Amino acid sequence: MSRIQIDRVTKKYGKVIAINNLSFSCEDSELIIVLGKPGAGKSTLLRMLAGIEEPNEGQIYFGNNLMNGVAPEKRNVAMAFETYALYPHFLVKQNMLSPLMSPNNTIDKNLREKRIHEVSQLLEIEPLLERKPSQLSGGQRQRVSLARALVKAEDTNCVFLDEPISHLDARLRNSLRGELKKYLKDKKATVIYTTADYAEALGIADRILIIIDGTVRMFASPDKVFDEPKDLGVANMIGDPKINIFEVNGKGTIQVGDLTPTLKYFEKVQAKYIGIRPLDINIMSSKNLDLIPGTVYVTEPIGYDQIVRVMVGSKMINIKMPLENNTFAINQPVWLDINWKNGLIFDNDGMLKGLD
Amino acid sequence: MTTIGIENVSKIYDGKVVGVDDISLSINEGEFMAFLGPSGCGKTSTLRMIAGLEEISKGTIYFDQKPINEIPSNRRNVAMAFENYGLYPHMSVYENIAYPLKLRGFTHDQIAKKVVEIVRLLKFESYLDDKPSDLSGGVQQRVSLARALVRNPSVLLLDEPISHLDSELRNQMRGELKRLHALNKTTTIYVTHDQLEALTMADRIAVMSQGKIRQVGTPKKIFYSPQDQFVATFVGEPPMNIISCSVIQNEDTVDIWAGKYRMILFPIRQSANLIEDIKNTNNEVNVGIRPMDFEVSDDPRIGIQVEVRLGEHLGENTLYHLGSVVGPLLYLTSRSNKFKEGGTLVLKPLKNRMHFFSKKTAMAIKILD
Repeated sequence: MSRIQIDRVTKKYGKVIAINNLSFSCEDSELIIVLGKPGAGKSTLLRMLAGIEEPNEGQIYFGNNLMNGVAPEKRNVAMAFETYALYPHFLVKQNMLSPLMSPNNTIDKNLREKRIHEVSQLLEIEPLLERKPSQLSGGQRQRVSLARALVKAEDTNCVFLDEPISHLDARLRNSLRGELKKYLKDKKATVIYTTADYAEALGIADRILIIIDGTVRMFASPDKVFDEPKDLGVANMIGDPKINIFEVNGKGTIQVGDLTPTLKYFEKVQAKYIGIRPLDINIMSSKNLDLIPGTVYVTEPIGYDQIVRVMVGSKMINIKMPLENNTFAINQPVWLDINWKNGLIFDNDGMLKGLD
Repeated sequence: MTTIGIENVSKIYDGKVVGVDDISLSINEGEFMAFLGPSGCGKTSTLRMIAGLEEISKGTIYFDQKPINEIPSNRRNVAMAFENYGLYPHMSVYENIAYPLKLRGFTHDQIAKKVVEIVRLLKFESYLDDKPSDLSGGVQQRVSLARALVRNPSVLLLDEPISHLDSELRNQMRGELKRLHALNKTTTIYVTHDQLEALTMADRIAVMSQGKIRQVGTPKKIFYSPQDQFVATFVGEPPMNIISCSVIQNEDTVDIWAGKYRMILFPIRQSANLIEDIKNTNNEVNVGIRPMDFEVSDDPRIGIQVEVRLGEHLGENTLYHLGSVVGPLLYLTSRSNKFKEGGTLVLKPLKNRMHFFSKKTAMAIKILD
C-alpha cells in the first residue's frame, strides 16, 4: 500500500513515442483505471511502473522512494499481464502459491491455503487447481494469472493489472467486475489497472485516467468522465452505442447528414460541435416536418431495449430506446426528435463547454 | 435460398463421447438462425456436420428436403467462416477473397468489384496486398468472413465470426452483418457463445447446452419467456437472479417467501401450475428476477430486505451488488436512484416480470392470466 507518483515520464521505442511527458499521482488504496484504445500506451505505462521497462525521461515514486532503476522483484508489487506468463511445469495451485513462497516470506501455511481458497472461489477456478497451464483455455489462464496477483495483493506496495479480464467471456467479465472491485477494496490495495472497455472503467474505478496517444486526456471520477467528457476524444470513448457528434455551421445551423436544421436554442452559444447521447433521440414513424427525416439502417434488440441505427444522408445516428411497442424495419423512413437541450457542447478545439 | 432440416442428429466421438445428442430443428429459407451456448455445448459440432466437415453419427440433415449426409462438403454449396480463419497463407488478402469467385468463373472485373465492395463493408481496405501472416487476428477474422460473404452461397455458416475483433468494431459488424442478411436473405447459421450477438442479429435462436437444444425461438421469446432455468440465466446481461423460495397456500392467495420475506402474493386462480409442481418439491420453487426487474417496495406486505454491498456505475444505470438472506442479488437501476454502500433497502419484483422454475425439472412454470 503506497502512494504512486509519475512525474513527466516519457518512453520512446526508436522514433515512436509511446508515452509523452505524462504525469499523474495515485493515492494510497486508490483504484485507478487507465482507459485507452489498443496502442494508446497504457501497457507501456504499466510496464514502467512494474519495472519491466525503464522510462527515457521522468521519475516514478512509490511513497517517497524513487523507483527508477529498481528491479521489478525489488519493487514489492503484484502484477498480472496480458501474456499470462504462468510457469508451465507447475500446477495451477503451485502457480498461485509461487508469489507467497519467496525465501523471505513470512506467511504461514494456513493463511496461504485460506488465500488460495478465497481467490480461487472469487475467480471460479477451484476445479482447475490441480491442472497444468497447458490444459487451460485462454480465459482460464488469464484468471490464473490474475489469481496469482491477487493472493499477494494485501502484502504489496501496489497491484498492477494489465487488461486482467479482457479475454473472459462477457458473462464472466460482467459477474467478476464487481467482485474484483470488492476484493481489491477489502484488501485496501493501491491498484493501477488498464482496460479498453469503458464500462469496466466506469464500473470499478475510483478515478479514470484516459490516455490517448501516450498523453493524459482526462483524469477524473467515473461520474465526471461520463457527465462531462473533457473533449471529443473522451466523449467518443464513453458509451455504447457511441455518442452522436454533430457539427454546428454557425448562427445555430446544425449539420445533420445532408440537412441543416436551424435551432434557436444554440444561436447564443459559441458551439462547434454538439454531442447527443443515444438515449436523447426519439423516433417517429409518421411524417413530421418539424423533425429530421432519415431511414432505418438496422435495428438490434437487446432484451428490453434496442439499438436503432438511422441514416440521415451519409451520417449514421445511433439511438437507444425501449423495445416494447417500437419496431422498425430496415430501410423504413422515420423522423427523429432530437433532444438538443441535453446535448454536450464543444468549442472549436473540441473542448467541452459549460452552458452559461 | 435453402431450407435446412436437422432430424434426430447426434455426434458421437470415439464411440462414446456424445457431442450432440439427438437434436431436431428446421431452419427456414432465408432465415438467420443463431446457435447460442457455452463452449462444449455442441453448437460447433452441429455446424460442422451441416458443413460436411464432420460425419453425422446418427440422424439425417436435409437441404431443401434432400438428405445430404452422403454429399461431400464441396458439393453442398455452403460458404463458411471459422474462428480459426483457415486462410491460404501463400495468397494475399485480395487473392484469398477472390479465390472462390475465380473458381466459379467470374471475370477479373466482376471479381474486383465484389472484393472491393465486401472489403469496404468490413472495413479493411488497406490490407488487400498483405499476406495473412502479416495480419492481426482481428483482420484475419474479417478476411475469412469476407471470403465467405463474397460469393452468394445458398447457405452461409459462420462460427464465431467476429469474436476476435475489438469491441468497437464488433459492435459495428453486428449491424453490418444483420443488414447484409436482411438484404440478401441467404439462409444463415451463426454460432456464438455471446448472447448479445444472438439477441441483436438473429431471426431465431437455438439455445444449446450439453449437446441438446434447450429452446428455439425469436430473441424476444427467448428473453421474455425462457423455457428453463438454463436459458433464463444464460440470456440477458447482467444475468437473472435465481432465488430459492417457499410457497404457502392461503385461502384465496398464494404467497412466495424468500426466507422470512414475502416477495409477492398471487390470486390462487393464477397458480394452478405452481401448486401442481410444488407437490413434489417440498413446497419450494426457484424464482427468477432479472436485475432490472426490481423496484423499491412501497407495499408493507411485500418486499425483501437487502444490504447494498457495492454499486457499479455503468453509464445511464448503476448495477448494485446486494447481500440478502437468500444470497447475493443483482439490481440494475437508473443512476438517478442512488443507494449508499452498506445501507439497506427493501425491494419487490416488478409485476409480470417474474419467472418460476421447478426445483425438480428446472423447467419454467407458467403463471395463468
